[in-house]
Amino acid sequence: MLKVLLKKQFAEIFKSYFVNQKTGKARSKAAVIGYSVLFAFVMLLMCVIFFCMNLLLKDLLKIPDYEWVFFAVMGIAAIMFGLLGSVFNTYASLYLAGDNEMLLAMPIPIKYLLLSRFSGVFVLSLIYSSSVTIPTLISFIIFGKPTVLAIVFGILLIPIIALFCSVLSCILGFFVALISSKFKRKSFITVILSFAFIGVYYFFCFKMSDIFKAIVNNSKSVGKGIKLYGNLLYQLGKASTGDVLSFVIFTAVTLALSALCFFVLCKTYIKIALINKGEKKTVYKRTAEKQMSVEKALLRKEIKRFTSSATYMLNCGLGIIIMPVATVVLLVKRNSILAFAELIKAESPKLYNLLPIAVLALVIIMASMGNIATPSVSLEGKKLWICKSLPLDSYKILRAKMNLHTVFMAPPAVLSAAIISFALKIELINVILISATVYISVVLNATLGVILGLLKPNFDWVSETTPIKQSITVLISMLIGIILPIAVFALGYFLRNSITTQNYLIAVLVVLAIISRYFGNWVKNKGTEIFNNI
Amino acid sequence: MLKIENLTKIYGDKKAVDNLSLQINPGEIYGFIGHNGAGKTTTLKSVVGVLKFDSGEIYIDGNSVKNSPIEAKKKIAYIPDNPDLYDFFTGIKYLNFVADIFGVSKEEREERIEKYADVLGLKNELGNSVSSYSHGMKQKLAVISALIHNPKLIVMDEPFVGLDPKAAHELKEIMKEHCKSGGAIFFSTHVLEVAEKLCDKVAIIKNGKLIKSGTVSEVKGDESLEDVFLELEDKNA
Repeated sequence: MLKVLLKKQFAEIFKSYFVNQKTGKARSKAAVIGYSVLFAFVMLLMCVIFFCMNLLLKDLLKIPDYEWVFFAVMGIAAIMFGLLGSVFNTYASLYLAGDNEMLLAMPIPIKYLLLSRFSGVFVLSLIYSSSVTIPTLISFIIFGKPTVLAIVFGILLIPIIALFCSVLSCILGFFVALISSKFKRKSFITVILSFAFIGVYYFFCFKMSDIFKAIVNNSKSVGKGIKLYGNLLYQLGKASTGDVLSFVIFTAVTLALSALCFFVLCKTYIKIALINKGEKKTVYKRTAEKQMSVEKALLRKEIKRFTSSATYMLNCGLGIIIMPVATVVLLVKRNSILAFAELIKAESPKLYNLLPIAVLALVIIMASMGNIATPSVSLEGKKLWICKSLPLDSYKILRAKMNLHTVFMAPPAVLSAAIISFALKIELINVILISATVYISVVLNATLGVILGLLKPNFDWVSETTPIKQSITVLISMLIGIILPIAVFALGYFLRNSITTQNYLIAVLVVLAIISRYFGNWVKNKGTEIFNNI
Repeated sequence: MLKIENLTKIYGDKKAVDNLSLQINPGEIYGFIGHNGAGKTTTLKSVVGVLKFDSGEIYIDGNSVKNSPIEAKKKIAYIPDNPDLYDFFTGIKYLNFVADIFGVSKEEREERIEKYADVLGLKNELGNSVSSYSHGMKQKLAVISALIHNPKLIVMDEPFVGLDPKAAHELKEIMKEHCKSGGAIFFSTHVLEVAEKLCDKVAIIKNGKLIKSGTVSEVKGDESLEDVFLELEDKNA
């Protein structure tokens, strides 16, 4: 029975890689290879980033008896990153899965059902945490002096750390479920809690360089501190260096925690998952109804869809929060940045002239952390019949999805662009150009999201995390959102001697506007045709 | 009101609906009967424009579903067999959403919501989230949303499933009232007694083909509709 449930869970997670969502048929070998290559590329990219992080700490591997501090610190990074990857899914996939009632009505022991759900959390934790643990092991092999046993333990610790992350994820998911079961506005509670977590996470990332320098310079006192106050991390660090006892302790503690967490989840699962979330029922009192236009009604529907789902908001709307936070951070660090810019100006004025392009690229990258439009087509799910049976022009439906993205992403993006530009003393005309280009890039992102959603729709999901997080379209949309500004900056760098910054910004604005217009027309003609035939 | 001409819908190698033709006139309640997988839902979904069909034509009040889908859809309302409604809305917000799409005035929507929510016993629940509704309550909400723009034709797929006896009775009365005022209803059902008592005309579909249609008395003759249905099922097996 467990095997069947696991098969179902994995089929759900990896469905989009092996099955064409439109036709329901298995993908060709070439398509599966293509998807796998793309996935491997993203994994490799993350591994490279964390390998660079290892380089900052590699000196720790040369301090006798304190090499373990390197692994303890990287262990924290692996656990944090693994948590970031799985925690937002855990609540939804454990407690809000659409097939919960159906499966619980079958003679399936809760422990089997939870194990299968847990396997999904574990896989996500493994994907994320291993992009830290694998480069850490490689760094150890290159820069340290590992024994065979240390390498074996290093390999074994990859899934053990992922298990540890999964347990922490489940504990957090459990508390989110418990708290949200007491409140009516569950999605906002989840979002607030999650943002608190993200805040701590990004604070750590922001301070990472300083923290790492301090760790390397004070490795012995840091080591003593970890040993005293974070003994489990000490055990993890020692285990990674090949210490048998520490390996046994860390593994045993992780397994014991997993068992305890599993036991608590089993005991409370039905109550939390099925009892009607403590929502107070109200008796309706007639109020004056308002009439609104079709466009407004559709946009309101999309906004309500977005704001009613914590999973949707957290995974696709991160940019809305990141942009103002990053702007504030940049304002705080304004003087250091300006001093650095002056330094560059003195060394190479042409390089300094790239500052407006760098700001543009930075804000577009931050804005690309919002992919609200991308899953919106698939999120219609089994409710697609409503839009299809109403007398609606399909383009209006699609435009509402694009507008949803623009309404949420454009104001913070344009404001961030303008504030950062002014703070960095960029010329007014360039500030206007940057802000306009950022706006166009948001519109482009919205249009591209809907196009991707139309080309790869998936209406047969059980949990909404499938179209939101496990969809290839969201991944592609994010990648394009990152690659595009990097390409804009790189091209600006190569052309720095042939074109003025202002002219380059105008060129970028015009090109993006043309592409955006072309994509917009595509949605209007081809897109509506595809939607009509779905 | 509704004219289906040679409707054919193919899934892979299987003809789900095979050259089906029928006509429904204003004031008629038309029952659609058939075994599971006979092609009832496919036909109904094709009529309301949710499903593209391979050949044939469907006209609603003279508007082709294929060529003028929006005009056709303005005149109909659809209630599916499993009303998956937007559960992020409250009941009242869902009704307002549908009313906005159809351009129903403030006064008209208030009056109709009040009337039908009261009749179907859903009035007190309208402020609650659709996600908290039972199947029957969702069905009632789907019925109210179908009536909110006073459509000419209502297409219903198994409309009585999940409704409590009182609501089922009220729905039958609403259906009769709708047809008395010149509207028409096309609905599928497995409950032959309901079809026999409620419908003016019935059509029996088997393996995608229409095997018998006409007024209830024409179809059943001296027998019960159940006997005729079972007989036809055996004959065409």
